[in-house]
Amino acid sequence: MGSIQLREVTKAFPKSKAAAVDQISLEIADGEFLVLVGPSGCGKSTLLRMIAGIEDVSSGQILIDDADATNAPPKERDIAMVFQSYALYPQMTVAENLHFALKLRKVPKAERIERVDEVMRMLRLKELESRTPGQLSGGQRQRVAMGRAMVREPAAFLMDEPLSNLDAKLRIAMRSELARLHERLGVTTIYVTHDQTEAMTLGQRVAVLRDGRLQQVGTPQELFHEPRNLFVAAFIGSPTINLVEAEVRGGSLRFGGHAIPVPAHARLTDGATVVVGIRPSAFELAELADDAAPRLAVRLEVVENLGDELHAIFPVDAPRVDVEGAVDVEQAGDEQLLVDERALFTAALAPRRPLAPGDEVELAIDTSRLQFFDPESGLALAGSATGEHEIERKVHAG
Amino acid sequence: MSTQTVAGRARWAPGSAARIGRRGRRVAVWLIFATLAASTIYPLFFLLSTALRTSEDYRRAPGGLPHELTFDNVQRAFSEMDIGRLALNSLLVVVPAVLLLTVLSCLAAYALVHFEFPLRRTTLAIVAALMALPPAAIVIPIFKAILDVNLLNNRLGLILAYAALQLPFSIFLLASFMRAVPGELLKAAMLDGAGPLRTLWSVVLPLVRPGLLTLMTLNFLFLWNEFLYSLVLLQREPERTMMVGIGQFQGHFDQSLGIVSAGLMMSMIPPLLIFFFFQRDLARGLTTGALK
Repeated sequence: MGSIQLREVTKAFPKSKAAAVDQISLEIADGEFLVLVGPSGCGKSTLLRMIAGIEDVSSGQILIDDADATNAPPKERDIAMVFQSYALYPQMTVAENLHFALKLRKVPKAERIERVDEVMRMLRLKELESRTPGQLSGGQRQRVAMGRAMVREPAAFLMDEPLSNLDAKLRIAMRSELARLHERLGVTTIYVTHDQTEAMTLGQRVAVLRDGRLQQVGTPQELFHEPRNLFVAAFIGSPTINLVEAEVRGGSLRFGGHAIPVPAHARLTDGATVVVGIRPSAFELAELADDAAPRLAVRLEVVENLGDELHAIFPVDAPRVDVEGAVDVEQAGDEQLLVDERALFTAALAPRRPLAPGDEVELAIDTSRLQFFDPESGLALAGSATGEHEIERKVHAG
Repeated sequence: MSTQTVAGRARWAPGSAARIGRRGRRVAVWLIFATLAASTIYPLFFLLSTALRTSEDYRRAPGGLPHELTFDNVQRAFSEMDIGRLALNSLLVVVPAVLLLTVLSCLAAYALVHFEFPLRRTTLAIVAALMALPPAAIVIPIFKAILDVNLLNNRLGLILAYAALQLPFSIFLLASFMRAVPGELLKAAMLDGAGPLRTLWSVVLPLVRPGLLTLMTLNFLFLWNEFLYSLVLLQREPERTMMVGIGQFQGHFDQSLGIVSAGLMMSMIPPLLIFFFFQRDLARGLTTGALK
């Protein structure tokens, strides 16, 4: 058993005006893999540390297996944590690192050896057992950190950006290893990351945080297709969603000299201004698309060929819609090199024919996938691809 | 021809002047360091030569080389000065004081660096300020305190006084080492089920080992050579420590100088042994001051 419930959990640091974690309520089912994602400083690591018991809770309640653990010391919570820095004991060998927690818990020696051996076999650590962490590569350290958590057979794993110190290739490999491991062990896992790709690929459910507040929690598909607000829409998905302000007039959405018909599912008031969200994958080369799909005639500025996909980047003569904090921390402030107030759209296309910067192309839009947001509040509007129940959500999200 | 020579000289001169200048600077630096080295080495040479020669030999050429080496003064230091007992007395005070200081400063530095409590920073600042206090300035209050608790002429009294005297420095030094221990290691130990003391013992102390050895060595050296507190707090002859014993040795001046020198020479043996055994850790501790 390893269910975790958070009830209006809040963390306020004495010298800070805003709460680092603000009234977060979440339920994580036994065996679930939940990812907490958000930009740097959104409170996700603080929340994780509160669950671990290494950070005090200012108010609210944390229940582990239905028992109140809000003020329980970490060792009584039966929770193991993998730190971003791995936090391996540098003076101990790999085997000693793995034995340490079991020794403290007075696990009989024979059982201890058996458990450590099994974990070392599972994580291919046997040949490294007498090395100290300083003699290991990043990936090996990461495995030891995982092993140290696993050997305790805890009720839940907490992982604080455990892959962020690895290089890109190893990170992707370890990502799928983690998913396999969870599949095999079935232990409740809460995983913190700022990388939305990691969140989307690993999480059974993903909770998006911003400024200490929970923005939305749902399956990766829900977050991608039915974002509750502009922040979630902009944060989730790679390449990032294209956002532009449009005017609803005469049954059309008008932006930057383009006009596309308001899709049938959208219930937008004539004369209103909305923010339209177009996923890059909602575009298609016109010649490959359905005849009925509306077209945009654009001039490409940049073409990125990824092999099996092609990213065509083109300007739209309308102001950019910036969503504060929605860019990955690693790219924050770096997303634009040249000053350009226009919106830059990205279309993710199948590379059926060669495209080059400067090409004039016609792109078709799948309007059934358009998302609409209120420009003032940033909340998703009824009649987005999100469906009608958004009206109800909008009230809660405030 | 002459023009060429002048021109040649003119071309040659700046390089030559620079070379002379460089050589001159090098000689000046060498002279400064040689003087500094001599000022350290000569007293040591004087001490050793006085200790290992007869008083007649010394009178003949006080600052010169001994004519023949003799261990007569060393023997007399044992028989007349009772240097063996003085050394034991010193060890009986200094070793417990060093151990006590190590334990207390470990606990204090650990708490001050890794725990959150009110006035933590203020306490650290006070600890740092106390280091600036000259030991002589507080000898009277400490004497009074030791007298009040009835520990005058008791080794425990001097041990406690030494602990009080060196605690600020010890905490300060260890705190700088403990700061280098990442907080996440302590959190990991907490999650693994270790309490604060177990974390200190199993995680923190092994990581600050160079710091601990540096601290123990420096405290040993300081307390071994300490004179004032020992003189004031252990006034009876049987408990007298080495430095006080040597300092107070009475005899004919011409004869006692050799014996005192022999005593001082032997008093250098324990610190030298400590340096010999821990020099690598000491160098690491003094230079790095951090882990990583």
